Order: sequence, then C-alpha cells, then structure tokens
Amino acid sequence: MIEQQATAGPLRQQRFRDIRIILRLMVRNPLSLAGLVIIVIFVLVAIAGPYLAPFPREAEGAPDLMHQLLPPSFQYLFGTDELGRDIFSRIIFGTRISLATSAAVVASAIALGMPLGAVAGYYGERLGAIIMRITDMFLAFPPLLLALAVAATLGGSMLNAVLALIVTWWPWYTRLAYSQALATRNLPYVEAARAIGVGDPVIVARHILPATLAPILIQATLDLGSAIIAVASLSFLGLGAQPPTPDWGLMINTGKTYFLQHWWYATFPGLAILTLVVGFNLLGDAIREAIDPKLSRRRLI
Amino acid sequence: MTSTLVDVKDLKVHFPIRSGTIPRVTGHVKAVDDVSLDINAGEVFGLVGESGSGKTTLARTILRLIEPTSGQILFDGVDLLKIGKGELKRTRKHMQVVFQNPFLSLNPRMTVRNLIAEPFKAHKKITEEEITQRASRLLKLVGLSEEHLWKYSIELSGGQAQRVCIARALALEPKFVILDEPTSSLDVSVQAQILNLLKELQKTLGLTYLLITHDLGVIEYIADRVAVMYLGKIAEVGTFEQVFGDPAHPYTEALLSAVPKVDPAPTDKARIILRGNIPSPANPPSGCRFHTRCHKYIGDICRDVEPNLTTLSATRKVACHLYKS
Amino acid sequence: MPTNPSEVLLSVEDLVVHFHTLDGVVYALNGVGFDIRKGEVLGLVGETGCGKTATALAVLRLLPENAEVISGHAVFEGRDLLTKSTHEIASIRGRKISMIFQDPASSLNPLFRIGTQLIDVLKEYYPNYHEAELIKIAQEKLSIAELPDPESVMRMFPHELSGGMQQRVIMAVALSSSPSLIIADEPTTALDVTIQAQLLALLKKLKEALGLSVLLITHNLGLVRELCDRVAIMYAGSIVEIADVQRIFQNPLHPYTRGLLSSVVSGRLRGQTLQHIPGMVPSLINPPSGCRFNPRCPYVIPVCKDKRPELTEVEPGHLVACYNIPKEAWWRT
Repeated sequence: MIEQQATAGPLRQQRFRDIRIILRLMVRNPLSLAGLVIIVIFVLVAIAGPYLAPFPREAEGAPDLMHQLLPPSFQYLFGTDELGRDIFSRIIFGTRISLATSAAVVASAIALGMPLGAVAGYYGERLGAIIMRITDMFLAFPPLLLALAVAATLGGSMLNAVLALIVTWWPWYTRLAYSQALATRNLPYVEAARAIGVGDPVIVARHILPATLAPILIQATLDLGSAIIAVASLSFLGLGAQPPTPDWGLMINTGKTYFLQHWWYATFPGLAILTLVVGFNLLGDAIREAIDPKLSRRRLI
Repeated sequence: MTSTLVDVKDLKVHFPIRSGTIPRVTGHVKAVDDVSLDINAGEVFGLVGESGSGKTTLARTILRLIEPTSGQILFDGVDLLKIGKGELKRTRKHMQVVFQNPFLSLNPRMTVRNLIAEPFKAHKKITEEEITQRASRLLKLVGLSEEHLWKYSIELSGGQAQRVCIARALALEPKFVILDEPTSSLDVSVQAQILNLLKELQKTLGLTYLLITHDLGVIEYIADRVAVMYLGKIAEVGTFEQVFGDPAHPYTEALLSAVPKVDPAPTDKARIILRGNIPSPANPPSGCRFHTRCHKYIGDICRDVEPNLTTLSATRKVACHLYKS
Repeated sequence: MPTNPSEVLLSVEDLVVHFHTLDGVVYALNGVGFDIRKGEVLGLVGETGCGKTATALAVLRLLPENAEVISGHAVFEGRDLLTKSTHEIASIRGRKISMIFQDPASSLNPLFRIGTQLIDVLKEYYPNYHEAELIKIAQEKLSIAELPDPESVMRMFPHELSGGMQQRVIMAVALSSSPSLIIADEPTTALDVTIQAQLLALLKKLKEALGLSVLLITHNLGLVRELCDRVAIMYAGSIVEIADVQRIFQNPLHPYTRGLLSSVVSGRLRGQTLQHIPGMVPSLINPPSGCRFNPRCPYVIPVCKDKRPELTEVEPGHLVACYNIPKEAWWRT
C-alpha cells in the first residue's frame, strides 16, 4: 500500500469554484467559446421565438399561396416553401422543437438508465448480471434501426419518436453508470457507510448515484447533438413530426423534392441542424477537457 | 473484573481464487486461518502484522463487512454470525471503525455535518435540528469547532479530516471502535495530536479499541495487549510488556528488530534480517508458516507440523514449536 | 560553506521554485541550499508538502510544466545543472545521477519482462555490446542488488515480483550506469518493515562497496538515524537545519526540528501525553512572511516575521536557520 500522506493541500478543488474554473478555461479556448456562443444563441432564439419570427403564423402552418417557393430575399431571409411559408420563421420555431425533444430524450434516458446502472453496479451478482444482460441486448441493436422499428410500430408522431429514442438510448447511460458504480462501491467511504449500518438502497442513492453523475453529464452534452440528429432523422423518414409542424427534419424531407430548382428549401434546415450539433460537440469536448483533472490543474494562467 | 467484549473463535476467512477460461475455483486465499482471540472491555488491543498477515481482513470480518468461511464472532456474548439483518444493524451501533485515509473515508460531496449525520439517520429518528446540535457537540469533543460543520472534506487538513472520522464513529456512542491504521496517512506531528485525542477519548468514554497498525511505536505507546499475526495466523499474543520486552515468537523478534530506531540504546540486540519474501497467503508454506524465513528453525517439525497456540501464562500465548505448554 | 570544495559532489544554492496552478502561485521552494559530499548519505527530512520531492525534481530538471525555476544553482561536477541544455542533462540524468521513487510498481512497465526493461536501459550505457553480453551484465546488476536467481527474475513480469523485489530491480537499474549520486525518494515507505530492513542493509553495503553518495528523501526519522551521515531538515520550502546525524538527534537546535523529534511516538513515552507542534503546516500559496515557521514557533521574535533567516553555522558542521535558537529544551517539560 502506498502510504499516501493525507493532505488536501493548497491545490484543492472546491466544488463551487469548479464551474467558474470550467467557464474560465472554456472562454480561453476559441473553439469551445464558439460552441458556447452557438448554443446560447439557439437557446435565446428558442425562447424568444414568436417575437423574432417575421411571419409567426406561417411558421405554425398558415399558407400564403401568393408567395410560393420564392428564393431568399430581404423579406424572406431563407426563402419560402411550397405553401409560401417563410422558411426563416419556420426554422426559428423549429429550434424550440429540436431543443425540447432532444433534451427530453436525453433527460429521460438518463432518468431511466442511470439508476439501473447504479443498482446493477452496486449490488452486482445476480441482480447486476440480469440488468446488464438486458442492457447488452438493447445495445446489440444499431441504435437508429431500433428507433425506427419502435417508432414505426407506435406510429408516426413526435411523441412516439421521442419515446422510440428513449427506448433506444437508455442502455448507454446504464453502462456508464454501471462502470462508475463498480469503481465507487469499493471506495472506503462506501465501506464506512456500510460499517455505520446504512441500508443498501440509501447507500446507492446517497453515495453511488452522485458519483455516476459526472461522466453521464459529460456524455449527455455530446448526446444532445446526436439526439437532435436522431429526431431529425426520424422526422425525415416520416416517423416523427407530422406536417405542418416546423420540424427541421420534416422540412428537409419535404424540401428534398424541390431541391434541384429550389436549393434553399432543404439547405437552411440542414445548416441549422449542422450548426447546432457542432455547437453541442464543441461544448461537450470543452467540458470534458475542463473536467479532466490532469489537464486543467496544470494550465498556466 | 474485566469482561470479554469481543471473542473471536476459530475464525476462517478464505477467498476463492477463480481462474481458467471457464472460471473454476482453483484455490483459496487463506486470509484469516483459524484465528482465535479475545478483547476485554476497556482495553486497547493492538494487532500487528505485515502484508498478507490478515489483520485488515480480520477487522473487516469482525465488522461483518466481509463474510467469514467459518468460526464465531461473539460480541458481548452474541454471535454476530448467527443474527439476522435487523439485529446486526442494531449491533452496529456498538461497534464502529476509523479507517486509514480520512479523505477516502469521507464522501467528498458531503458536508461535515451530513457526514456525521449519517449514523444518526441510519439508526435514530431525530430531527434535523437535533442532528446538527449533536454533530456540533461531537466536533467539539474531537477538538474541532462548529464552523467545520459546513465544510467539505477536501477543505480540511489530514488531521482535521481524521478527527471528523472519529467524531462520526462516536456518534452512536459505541462500546467498541476498530482503528485501522488511524495515523499512518498523517504527518508525524499530526499523528501525535490524533493519538492524544484517541487516548483521551478512550478514558473519558470508556471505549474498547482494536488498534491495527504496522507502526510498532504506536502500539508500544498505547496498547495494553498485543497480537502478532503472520500469514493469516496468530503468532503470539500477550501484554505489551511481554511482547515488546521479551518476544517469544521468532517472527515478533525479527519484526521488532527490523524497525529503524530513532534512539537506539546500547542494550539493543543486533538486527535480525529475515531471509526471503513474505509468502503469498494463497500458497502458504507447509507446517509452521514462518519456517521458510525463521532464524530459529529447529528441524523437520517446523516444516511438517503447524504449531498450535500454546498457553505460556495467564496472559500469554505463542504458536511455535520452541515452546511446550 | 567551510568544507573542502573538492569533496562536494552536488551543491544546491538558493533554489527558488514556483508552481503555477489554478488555485494561485505556489511558492514551493524558498531558497533551498545544501551540499552533498562524495561518499555520504544525506537525509532530506520533512513532512508532506515541504518541498523535498520538488527539490530533487528541480535538480534533475524533471519538474512539471507549470513549475518555474526563479533562481538558484545546482552545481554538479563543476557545472550548474539548471543552466545546462536538455541534451546535456539527459546525459547526466540516469547516468551520473540516478533516481529511485517510492512506488516500485509504477517505475516498472507492467507489459515488459524485467530482463527486457533492464537491457533496454543497459543499451544506453553500453552501446556497442551484443545482446548476450548485455544479458550477462543485467544478471550481474541483479545479483548486486541481491536478487535471488537473477536468471529467473529476468524472465518475470513486474507483477510477479513482490514489492521488495521490485524495489531491488529498480536499484539494479539505478546502479547500472555506475552513478556517483543516487536520489532515493521514500524508497522504503511502501514496503513492509521486514523487507525494509533487508533493503536498508543492502543500501548500507552498496554505499560502502561502491562509494556512492545518496540523497535520501524521507519522513522516517528512524531510517535517517540508521542510514544517513548528515541530515537536512526541511520545512515549508526551505532548509532549517543541517547537521551530522548524531548531532541532530542529540542536540537539535531549530524549534521545528525539536518539535519533530519530540513528536515521534514510541513506547518510552507510554502514559504521557505526546508533544506536538501546535498549528498546521502553512499554505504555500499564501505563506507566512519571513521565517515560515513563525506562526507556530514558541520562540518567535519580531524579526522572524520580516526576513527569512539564513543558514548559519553555530558549531562545526551544524547549520541552523533561526534568529532565536532556544537555549534549553522547552519541549520536554
């Protein structure tokens, strides 16, 4: 046993300062700053939606057959679609949908997967084995195919698309939580809790679950980007949002038919997806780097 | 009249070794092999040994953090291995533990107040108000102040963190506290403070300690009786004067002479340097486990026959063929 | 320093090192200075965080990226190690000055056999030798380190060896270039007492046989007593006392040294309350001004807070950095 001289020393990590440190580090790195800015912009757009869109009723679906398929102009920044609706306004409204659905997918998958993984990791033996084998079964399917199958069975709607994705995604978090729980359950402070007489369920809730949170949150930030693409894909395939919802994936689906003559229809929703996902990826990478204790501790200020 | 608080009888803790492509049990790590000892109420019982001696496993088994393979552990007359979960939980109030590294023993995400609250929440139904008050009193008892209640373990020094561990262990007013290398992770000057505290607490609260350490100086300073373990077995047991002043078992002799002394006395004997390494508890030597390194090896009997614990006096036992009862 | 200059192997002077961290600047080394003479074992003693490892790393230019050497000299064989190029340092590090760390397992690559790792190192020092010759030399080094059956050991992986044997392998590696100085950072702390005794005996033997100098970094005072010729006591980034080992135990002068020695736990003090130094080791991000021990020192006088005391010789071979050396032993009341 290495005789560790137990000191927290001057180089200690204070939890509350961590967030400020992370932000500081992120701001210094231009890429991560870009990611942060992108996300913030999209979130603001989502919140302020109805007030920003020049043609809010068209965004919701009201047609304007006088202005069908117009190219981008000063009035219609991204052009109009086959029903004459302003694509720019529809994209703004679509931001809400994308952010809300991806957040719902990720949050629910975590809510389902994390406790399962923590329980499997802590209890181990038979209960753990059963849970993990079921998890493995789900993981064996290519994610999008599984989502497609579930969504197709349930029928095409936004709700069903979200449900399908939750069913597909929870195992990833279970596995993350499981490995973290395995590492944590042998730590002295868990042993100490057992010696005190704390019951197992309380130990899982109080000691194991919080320890699994960190890696899961990092993964979640990256997953938000993937979730957006997944939701858009399902909508693109007709298994998600239905017309007239201004969902980006649905817009690309409809737009592809008009693509050759009217390039703007599918392009702008595509760019929206691209930008938002890149934003989440940059942010996720930055957070991961900032949280990595070896890297962050030593940066010269 | 001293009464026996903890009575360990014929305890065996064997861990199966699984190996091979189709995992089968290919052997056992005999971490604790037929150990019997008794700890009297109110005393400080020291347990020494090196790696593989089984002292840590023994401690955890007494706390029933590890399930033994066979044997009995009597706590205040009750066999801990035969009681149900409910009674075991109630018994846990009376036996607590302080581990080696305070920073690893305290959840870094919990405040000191919540860390000390944990035993209360597990056993008693008292209000949050009451918990905070009791925690505050416990902190004072171990030499910390109320302001420490709201700190996190990483904000504390090693000594302070260990004090918090001690406060937590005392929360439910236990009779018996196992101290597993309580000062080994601490700096020299802090060790002294913690030892003073432990000694004082023992006197004022009438505690019984099982003190496990490899630091012989600490044992010599504070222990009433001592047991020396080697490879899962007890080599020798006696009062501190007997074991340190006149060691009976050759291993104890070698152990004592191996420690580099800060103030050597002219009466010190020459250092005994043992040959070879400590064997693995998965594959202990035949007969007397110490025979491969023993400087007082007397012959085939050491290699072939395992010595039993022979009683030399009312307080003293040795497991060595050099002694006949 | 009034010692014959030709006897001095390594001379560290006024070493000041800062670490830049997210919590602020750590003023780790605050003017460290000491000499190591040829053939002597110098103990560098102090508690956690006092800077003993940082000192060793600074001398060998192994400090991490966020360290800044503000000033100081480490003169070895006539030249300052701190100003040499990385190329020149590489030829000294591992060859003329070797280092042994605390955890032998992390100094050995778990994926390669002992023989492979040892020969890898030997190839550097014996560049034109054949594989067969190198194997022989490797086995020789292993037997100097008193490893039983060197041939078998060569074929083993590190995890197949016990901690004591791993540390012997490390010693064999450290000795393979016939260095004049070995820096050993807590070499036996991770080992059992009986194994420690074996290694202690080996170190003594090697010191006699090879005329090695050793800088032994440790917090174990017993080890110091047994193995060292002279001792340097370190506190919060500076050396506070240097003396022959006998002298420092008989007559410790610096208040910190006295406190340290008085707090050693032993059976002799049975029944008594243990002495200890009040207070805590200071933060090195915001260290006390002047002498860093002043907040905890019972002999503090105003000048202690203004300026750090220099090491001055108070009796032959005995240096202390203190303005107010206590006249009597106040710790033992």
